[in-house]
Amino acid sequence: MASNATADYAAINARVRVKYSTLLSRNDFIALSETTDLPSFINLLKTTSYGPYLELAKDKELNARRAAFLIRQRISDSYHTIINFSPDFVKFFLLEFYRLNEVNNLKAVLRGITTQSSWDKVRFVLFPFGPDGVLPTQAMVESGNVAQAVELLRGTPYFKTLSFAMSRYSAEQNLFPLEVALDLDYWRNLWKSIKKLPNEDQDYATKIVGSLLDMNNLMWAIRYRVYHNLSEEEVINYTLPVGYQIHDKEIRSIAAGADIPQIIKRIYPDLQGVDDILLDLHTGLPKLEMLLEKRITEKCHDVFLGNPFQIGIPLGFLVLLDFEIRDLVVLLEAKAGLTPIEKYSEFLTTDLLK
Amino acid sequence: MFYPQEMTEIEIIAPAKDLLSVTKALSGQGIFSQTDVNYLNAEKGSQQPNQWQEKATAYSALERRLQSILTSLDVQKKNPSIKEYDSIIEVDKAKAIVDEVEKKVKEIIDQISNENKHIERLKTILLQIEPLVDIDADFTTLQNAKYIHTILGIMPGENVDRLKTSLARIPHELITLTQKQQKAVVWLAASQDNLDVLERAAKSAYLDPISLPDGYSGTPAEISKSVKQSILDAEAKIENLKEPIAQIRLEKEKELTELLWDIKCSHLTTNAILKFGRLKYTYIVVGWVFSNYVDFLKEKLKNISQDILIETRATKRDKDSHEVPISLSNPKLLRPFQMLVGNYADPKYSELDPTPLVAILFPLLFGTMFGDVGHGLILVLIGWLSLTGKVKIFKFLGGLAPIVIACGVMSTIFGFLYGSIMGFEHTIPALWLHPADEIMTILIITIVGGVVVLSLGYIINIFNLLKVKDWANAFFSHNGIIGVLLYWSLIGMGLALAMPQFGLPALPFIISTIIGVIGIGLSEVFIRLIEGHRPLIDGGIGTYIVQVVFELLETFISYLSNSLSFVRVGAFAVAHSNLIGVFFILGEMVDPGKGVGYWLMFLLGTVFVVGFEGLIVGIQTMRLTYYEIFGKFFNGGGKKFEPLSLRPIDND
Repeated sequence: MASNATADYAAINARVRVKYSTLLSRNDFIALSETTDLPSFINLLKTTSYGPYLELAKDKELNARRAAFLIRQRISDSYHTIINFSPDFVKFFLLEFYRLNEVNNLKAVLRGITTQSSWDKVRFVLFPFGPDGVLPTQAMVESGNVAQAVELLRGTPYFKTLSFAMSRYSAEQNLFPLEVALDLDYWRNLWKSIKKLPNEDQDYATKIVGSLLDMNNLMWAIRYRVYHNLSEEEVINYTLPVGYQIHDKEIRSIAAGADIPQIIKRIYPDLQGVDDILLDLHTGLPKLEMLLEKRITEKCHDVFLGNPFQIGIPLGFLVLLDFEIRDLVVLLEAKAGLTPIEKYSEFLTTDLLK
Repeated sequence: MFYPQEMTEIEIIAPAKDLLSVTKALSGQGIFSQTDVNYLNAEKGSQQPNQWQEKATAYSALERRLQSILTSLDVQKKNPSIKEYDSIIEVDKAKAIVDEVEKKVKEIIDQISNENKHIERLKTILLQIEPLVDIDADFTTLQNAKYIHTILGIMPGENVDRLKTSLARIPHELITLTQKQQKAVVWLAASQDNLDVLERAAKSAYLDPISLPDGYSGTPAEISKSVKQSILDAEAKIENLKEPIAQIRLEKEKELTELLWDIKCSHLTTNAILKFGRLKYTYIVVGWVFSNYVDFLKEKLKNISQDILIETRATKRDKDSHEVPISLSNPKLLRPFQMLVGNYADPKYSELDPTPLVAILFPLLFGTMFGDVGHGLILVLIGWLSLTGKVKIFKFLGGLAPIVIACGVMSTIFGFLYGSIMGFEHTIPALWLHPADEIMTILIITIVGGVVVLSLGYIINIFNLLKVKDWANAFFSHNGIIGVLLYWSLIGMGLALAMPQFGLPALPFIISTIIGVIGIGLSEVFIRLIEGHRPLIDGGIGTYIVQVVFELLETFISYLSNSLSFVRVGAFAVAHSNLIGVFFILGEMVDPGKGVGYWLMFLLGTVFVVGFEGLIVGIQTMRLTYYEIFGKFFNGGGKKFEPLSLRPIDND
């Protein structure tokens, strides 16, 4: 297996390591955050690996929304390269991982419909799939009606998931049941597909995907209890019983009303300042989410040490790139609104004020 | 021909009244590529709706509705009869026609759709009720028990376990009756005291309770029987409804197909207008036009109105301009080779178009490796048959057919030079040499040829860099002047020292090699110096020295491997003559008397050589072209010129 893995992963390992070296450093982020306004931010960003993407539009066209749309194309390109050069036995898994962007697009489209936004507005918040995009997103937005939009998804894996939730949407006129159904179905399928990987790859994939799922599951459980005041059985049904460090027991405890900071400290004993952060659960939750994202970032960097011939390398890079682009989007919006660093730094995975 | 077609940026300010005429004028001839400038909008931020946005949305909706009607009528997609779309169809007019047809069709289609949905619903009920058919009790009684609350319904199969978990704190019973295609039919029961918990859990697990339509009652078996009968009735009803649909199709097919194309064209026009900038009374159109058509386009626009303002800016090729779209303009004979270039990358506006070079080198390299009069002519024949479409099995070659012909012609010429025909090496005289008899000669010649081709690549690269005024890389990059100096010096030094019989002086080459080594070693410093980056050495002197040593090593290895890479050209020329020889030997083994068996083996050999070896030689030629030749000077990254077209057939 080991020698096979070496041959299978040689090409992708080399390529991803080159890409990994082009990720922005903390110093790059500090320099970017020190720019005074959006044009100077964009000019500096053009000197990085995002340059070719930003060159696709003229300077005068580059507002924060357009720039965010353009730089997101880098992750789309990275998925392409990585999936193409990956060994056949992991392609299905990476494609499944890539599908998260499709699920997010679907949710954005549904939100666009309910807020009666035009296609011209919605298209810039969608993940740029380019010719790979098979969902009829434009037709869905232009249908102006959630039921008709879901009907347009016939033949896709999303139709069945959404059709179960549609009776609730019709009754409640709220996207919540549709979004939850999409999320649960996606993460459940992704988790299942890990089991189809070779044993060694399963360990790496569980570590990364499991950590992402842990974070989502924890956030869902707390939000449903704290923000939405849902009952124990509802919280359980809207979460998943699997993960890397968080298991059903912890989710059920949260659902049953146990002390949230205590549970988090039990799961992550090394996490600093949990009590302070969660003094007010409403304001503390986004901060906790960022702390967990930082832990995932560390895990993703860790996979680049040691055995280089495993799925953790491409997977870790894709997660890091995704976080990096999200940070850049936060910075873009901050620079467009001339927001001071203290107000946005806590929403970045990269520590600017360390 | 050596550069992508010359482009001029054009900015047009047109009064609103001339908007449609201007759009139409720009869309003809395929000479104008539009730039999205909708951000130039005087009404930005105003709450006034954009009329063109509204129209685009309306056309999109009409297109979808009409498409849906045509699908319902089972009308096959057809191309429009050739016609010019002079104006956009008014939304109200198109809507009236669509409304009218839809009214006729929709009523029937809705009935069919409702019947289909009804069948779907009945099948779901059947799925839920069938597991209970053995229970001989009234279904309503089962549903309305006094002390327990029950829910019979359908839910995602994957949620069943989670539902069970969520109900752990109350006494309950959850039975999965059937599970098909991820749909589980379940029966859930708990005490009436826990009604709230049960319903919340069921709802959050997406359990959809069964709801029997009116008129279904009795035992589960009786209900099942009634539902099955209802399904049969609905299916019969659908068949009856299909008859008037066929009649409408017969009457309206042509009219509706034409209308669809009208709407599509109008939709394309409004989409194009949405990309224009908008001032209060005028529109700003920005885009690129072929420079040799600028006057033609100006005249065309001025004929529409003298109020139209036009400003043009010719674009020089002296900068790395990403945003200029490119269109290659090679003579017809060279165009098939554009595909090979495009497959690698599209050249940038400021970059030399490598198509003419590829058109010469590709067949030349192929012919050198595959030199045989007979095999070459077979390739010409295959290419010709594919091109003319006379033999279907060769159609798979598609756009490659002209390239196959060119390669076949060159193979034939080299066949005469090598004296090889259908694998017979001594039937016709060799005008040059027999590769199999003079192996070293052919190998050396191909290496020399490789050096010439590589040098050509370096020179083109330097030319490209000088053209865009990238002085630093033109002089000091590995593929720049200093790189070529080192490459040629190493070759000269090697020849002078290894082959003294040529009488080449070694000293000048040794000196130029040292200059080249120093130049390459310090290239990064020089490049940073010229480009104004500081510090000149990044990461400390020690790291830099180690880096230089490895870079030099890598440079030497790449010069050597790149040059020796062309040995394969000679090796394949030798292998070609020997490969068919193997089949002659096999033929003699099969039929020593050189009868039918011998010639069958010969035929098999010819198919193998032309098919399999031809493919391998093609791949090797492509590899040499892409890696050894393009890798030296061709970066690509150009943006394709996409002409504005309002003809739906072009955009479909």
